[in-house]
Amino acid sequence: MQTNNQNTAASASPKKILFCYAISDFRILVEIGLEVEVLEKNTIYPIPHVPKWYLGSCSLRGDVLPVINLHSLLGLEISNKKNRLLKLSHPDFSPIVIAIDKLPYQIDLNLLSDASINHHLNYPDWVISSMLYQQLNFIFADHSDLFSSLQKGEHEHLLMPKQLGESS
Amino acid sequence: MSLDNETKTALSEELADVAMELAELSTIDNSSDDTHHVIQTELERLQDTAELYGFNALTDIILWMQQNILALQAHQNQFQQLNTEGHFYIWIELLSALLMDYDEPLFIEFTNVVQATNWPIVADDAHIQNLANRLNPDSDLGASMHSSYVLTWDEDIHPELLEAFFIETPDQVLETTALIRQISAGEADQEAQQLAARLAHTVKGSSAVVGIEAVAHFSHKLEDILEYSVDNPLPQTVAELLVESADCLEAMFDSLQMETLPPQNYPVLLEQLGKTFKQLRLGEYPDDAVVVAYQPIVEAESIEAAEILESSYVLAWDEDIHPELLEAFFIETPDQVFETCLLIQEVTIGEADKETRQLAARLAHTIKGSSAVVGIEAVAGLAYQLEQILEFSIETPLPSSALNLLTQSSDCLEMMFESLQHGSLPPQNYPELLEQLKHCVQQLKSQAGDLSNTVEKAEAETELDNKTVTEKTIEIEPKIAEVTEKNSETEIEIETPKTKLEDTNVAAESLKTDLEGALDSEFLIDTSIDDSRTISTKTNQENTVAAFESKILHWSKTVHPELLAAYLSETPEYIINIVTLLHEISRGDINQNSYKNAARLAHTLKGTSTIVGAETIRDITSKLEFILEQLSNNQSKLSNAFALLLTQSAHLLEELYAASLAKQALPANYSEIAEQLLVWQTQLQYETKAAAKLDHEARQSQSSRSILDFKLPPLQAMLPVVQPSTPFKTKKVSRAKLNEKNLRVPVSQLDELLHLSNELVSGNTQIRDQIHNLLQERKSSNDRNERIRLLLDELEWAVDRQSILSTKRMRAEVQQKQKESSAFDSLEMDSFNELHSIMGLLSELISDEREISTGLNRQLRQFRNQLTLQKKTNAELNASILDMRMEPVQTIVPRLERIIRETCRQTGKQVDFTIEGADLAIDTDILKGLVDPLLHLLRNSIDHGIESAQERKQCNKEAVGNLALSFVQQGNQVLLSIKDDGAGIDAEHIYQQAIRKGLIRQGTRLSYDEKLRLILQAGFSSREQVTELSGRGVGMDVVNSAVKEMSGTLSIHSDVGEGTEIQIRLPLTLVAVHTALLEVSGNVVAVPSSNISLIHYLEKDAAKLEKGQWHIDYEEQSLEILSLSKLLGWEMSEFNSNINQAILMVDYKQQKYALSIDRILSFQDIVLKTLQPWFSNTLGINGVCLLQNDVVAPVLNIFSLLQDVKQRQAAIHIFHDTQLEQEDTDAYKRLLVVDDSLSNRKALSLMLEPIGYEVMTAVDGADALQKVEQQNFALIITDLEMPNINGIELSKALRHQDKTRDIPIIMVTSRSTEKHRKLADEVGINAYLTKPVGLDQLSNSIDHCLHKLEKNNKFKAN
Repeated sequence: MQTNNQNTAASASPKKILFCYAISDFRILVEIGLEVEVLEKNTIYPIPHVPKWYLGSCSLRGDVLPVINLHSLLGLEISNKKNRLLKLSHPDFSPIVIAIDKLPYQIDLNLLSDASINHHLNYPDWVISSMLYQQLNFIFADHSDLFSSLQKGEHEHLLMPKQLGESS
Repeated sequence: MSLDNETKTALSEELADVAMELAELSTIDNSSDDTHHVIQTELERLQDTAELYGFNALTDIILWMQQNILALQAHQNQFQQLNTEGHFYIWIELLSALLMDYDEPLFIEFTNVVQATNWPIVADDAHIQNLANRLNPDSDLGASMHSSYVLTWDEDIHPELLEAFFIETPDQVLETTALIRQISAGEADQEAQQLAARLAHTVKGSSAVVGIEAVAHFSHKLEDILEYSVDNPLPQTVAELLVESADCLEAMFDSLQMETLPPQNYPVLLEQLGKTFKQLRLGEYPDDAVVVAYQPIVEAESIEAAEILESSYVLAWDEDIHPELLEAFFIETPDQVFETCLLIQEVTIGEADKETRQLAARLAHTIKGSSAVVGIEAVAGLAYQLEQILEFSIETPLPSSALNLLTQSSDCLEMMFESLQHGSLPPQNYPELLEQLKHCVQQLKSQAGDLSNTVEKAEAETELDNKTVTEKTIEIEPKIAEVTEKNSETEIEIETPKTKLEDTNVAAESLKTDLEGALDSEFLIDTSIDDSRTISTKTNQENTVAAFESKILHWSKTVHPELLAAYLSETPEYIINIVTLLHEISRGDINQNSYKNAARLAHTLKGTSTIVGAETIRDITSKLEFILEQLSNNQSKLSNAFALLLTQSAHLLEELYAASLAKQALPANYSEIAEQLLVWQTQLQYETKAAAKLDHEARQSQSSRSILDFKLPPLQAMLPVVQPSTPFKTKKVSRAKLNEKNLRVPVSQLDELLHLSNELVSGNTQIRDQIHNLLQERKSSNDRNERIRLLLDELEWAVDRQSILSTKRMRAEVQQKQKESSAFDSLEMDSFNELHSIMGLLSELISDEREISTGLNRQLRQFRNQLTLQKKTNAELNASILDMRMEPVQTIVPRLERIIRETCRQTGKQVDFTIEGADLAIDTDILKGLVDPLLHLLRNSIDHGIESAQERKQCNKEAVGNLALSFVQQGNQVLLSIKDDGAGIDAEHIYQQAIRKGLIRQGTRLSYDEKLRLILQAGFSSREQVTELSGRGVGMDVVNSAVKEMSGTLSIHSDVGEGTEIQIRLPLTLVAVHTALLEVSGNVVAVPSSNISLIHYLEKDAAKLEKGQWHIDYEEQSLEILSLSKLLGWEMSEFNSNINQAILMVDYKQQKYALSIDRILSFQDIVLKTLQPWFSNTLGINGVCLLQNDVVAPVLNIFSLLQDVKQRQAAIHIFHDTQLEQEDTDAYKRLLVVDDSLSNRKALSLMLEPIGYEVMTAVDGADALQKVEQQNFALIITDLEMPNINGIELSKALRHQDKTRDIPIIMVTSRSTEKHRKLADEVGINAYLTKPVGLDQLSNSIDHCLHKLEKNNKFKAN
């Protein structure tokens, strides 16, 4: 399955629909301009001595792509269930794959207008904001910021939720 | 190969079945064709079966039989006779019997039958014996056939390793032998010779790994001679020996694969190869031997032709001419000849303008020169005469006789080249034409003689005026000056102020007089020239400096971006090439084309720079072009001053381009060098004109005189004081053919091509797998068919039986009925029932099925063969693409030389810099990555290493230091060495500096090498003062990081007072790597073959458990078996010594390591993909690769992993920063487990290692105390009751010593009474745990103890 969020957004009604993918109870919204593709039956091959956020590598049509463990960056344990993989293509970065828990789906942002802003979690800088809706955390993420931080090799703790009392 | 009993039985049954068929056939009176068809079908069936089982011996026997039967077809009588006599089926029957029971009488019978069969393709006794032996290798009947040497592999070699060897090496052998034959025939170029040597090296290595010593030795000897052949021509006898050896090598591999008798000339050849190489190396090989050298095919053909055809004159080149030179000549000159002839045609029909005539004369001149260089005197002579006439034609119209002669001569010239290229008879009118041309030239000269003086004088005056005016006006109107330089012959009206013109005329007159005087003297020395030139130069210099002062270099603002992009893309290469040539010219390392090539490059650069408005580069190249063109006509020895000027010009060009790119200011020395070039340009212009006055004889008499050997005090005085120029002994070898057209392709496109090629390989492998599966399925289908056939036989028997019974019952009435209704008796006509019909149909179906199956099998075999071919093509494609990524080191040499000159200038030191191996080609990524590290190292060597001339004299050294850079290929690695004879590195000084800078702790024990390696630490600098060049504390750590990033290693060797050598070992390419694919903890990993010294086949129970660690005895030492899985930080499966397994042996820094793995999967060339941009320097990982079926495997760097282990083991506490050190300490805590029970020790180790601890073990208290003495431990876990020294005593002893007083001790015991606890508490045990102890409990206790210790330490520190 391959889709372009830009096209979707362009043809979307005023409903303001975005794709989101699931990492545990978090629903991370995919910003406009990011191309997503669900990968089926892909195996993740482990690479030794890499940071925790690097789950391994997978192959897609002759290319080797890195698989990100976003769970670890959000302070969660990755599910032992069979991984679903989501390829994200940002125009400024080489493609990357994220291990997700559920297939991405569309959400109308208007639904979130009644949601409460989640102030309880100290998110890392790549998370712009978070909203609690139907007991799910909808995260507005800046993926380019995330990718850029990963490439710069910033310490893992900078990409993870901040500890209490830690300044931003 | 040996077959198991089950397979033997199956095969034997198959053979027996065929024998039955053939026996039946022998009794039927068929036509010859039918019989032949049946026999061939049966034999094909057998062959398929043999192939399915991979039983080559049987395949060969059947093949031999088929060939015989095919040959017998022509002799039908004999064929039928053999059939009816039963030779065919007896043969097969005997084969069947031999396969199962191989005994002496049976063998004799077999031999007799074979001999009695009277086969057309005769087999001798040895052949029959050989076939029989191969049929049943388990027998010892073949023992009578002794080989003079052993040709087999190690019995204990791992089967997978052997399989890999037989997949890979035979192809390499075939390639090697093909190349050897080319070399012996003189058809191999240097590249092919290098490849042959490399392949022989590979064959040697792989044979040694599997223990086939005979092949390894043989390949080694071959490699020696092939390596020798790269740089030296081989005597004919050696070439013949090589061919014989190639045959032998192939035969050896045939023998290994087919299990036949190995070639018996091996020992003799081996000895001969060794002896020959020794003789060659020592120069003792008989001198009278004919030398085999690389000859282009054209030459061989023409030599042959020249021998056959008798010519009235000699049209051939020098025999000792260098082949590359000759190749270049034949690439370049025929085109020039063609062009000249076209131009001559234009001249003769009166359509040529002055420029065309000049061009024709210049081309004739070029042809003359190049022909003379390769020694083709006939062509040179003709071209010379043509040049003379064409030169006349520039100014004077030629008479019709001369024009006619020109036409004939151009035809003759063309024919001469055709003759040279194709070996045909040369034109026979040449001698006559040459005479006519000479006569014509004389006539023309005499006609022009009367006018000559007047014309020349007028011309000279005009030129003098023009030149001087040009000089004076250059600062006023640069564009006019440019045009004047471009075409000094063109008459341009230049409007200059009268006063200036008058001044100029005075100077010109003075110059002219002086010049004429100089020409009459023996040496062209005239100070008045210098004076006048100095005056004008100084004026020009001042003005030019003023004009360019504070000028920032940039391109023309109006230039089209695409034009600029093209310029920026191609110019760096031009600059590199011209700089290289200028350096070569300046040090006298030139050939015929050096000047011309340099002039051509200068011309190109001038043109392109003009387009983009790079005025300064245009200015310099314009001058250089003129000067170089003039020099190309008279290649005399250059004066030192002029050589220096050329070097400086080269340097300036590089600086100008760099400054233009960076939009920086004009280099300070620009105007100075530009002026000097102008002076030389002017001087040469006058020289040319003056020389034109002289007739040919006069010029010849003066040709030995150096026109450039001026003494120019003022010019030299202007030059900056620079250290004497020392020759840079570099060797340039171009990978492309001379004058070959080049195409610029981005590396990314090559990578994409490589990616696609790799996909092809992957696809090919998958198809091969599918074919294999198809063949397997077909085998199952065959088996099924056989069963059906057997059932059918049974059914037939049953039907017949039933039929007989029913027949008996009804016979009476049937007979009665028949008698009544039919005229036939029952014996006269068979009667069939319905069952018989179905039976018949079924039999036909089975028969059809068999035929289809045979056809299918044949097609599959063809398909497989095609795939094998395709695989080879794919491999060649891959290799070609990879080769495109390779660049010779030569391309970076100018930059290196420049940095040497620069550093010498800045430090005032003198260095003799040599480069060896500049022709070695390295992957472009590595080469580019090498530049910066090399620049650092070379600068450091001069600044830190080489002493000043004065210091060197005090040390009794030559004033000029030596700095050698060498590139040597070792397998698929390149060893780079930078060696100087400077002051060396004082390791002790480095050590003290490191302590002072806080890089290491006081008292840290380091070996000499480790102390030296401290200079690789970030922030380290032994320089007390920061200089422009060094002392900033950066550099060596950057170098080290860069080398590591390229999967390389760096080592330092230094002796105080004697010098330093830094060695860098890098892979030749980072893209394609030959790897061993391994399974480790269930994952596939790829390990470059270069990381593995040997794969050791460890038999079960061969490993020993020593002090809790598994060890193997290897080369008389006991090596600890390290788990690769553990090194990779993966789950560690327990080492199982109860199975046979492969162990990787790795040599790293003079130490051997044994690594355990799960299993070897295969050996494969992989294309490396980096983890960038996500990671750049991951521990132990070079990147990843994509294998078939889309499996991704990490490509490991074992050396890096071992280095990490070594660093940890050595416990060198080099702390770059506190955080890193803290992380390191946290990650690796070494614990000592003391217990007299092996099980307990093992259990505790297995429990603790996976959670990040390094566990050492001791068998009792005494052993523990020894261990503690040798190493530091974070914590000790001990049993209570142990022999020698028990846990309580151990604790007491530890608490007694300062060094060990604070080590936390945990006691793990089965004693749980309070009394024991109290006792332990009294002796300072930190935690008391009773068995059985769980991981959580133990882990918590350890954490608690260590945390407490850390707190205490902090408290103490405060």
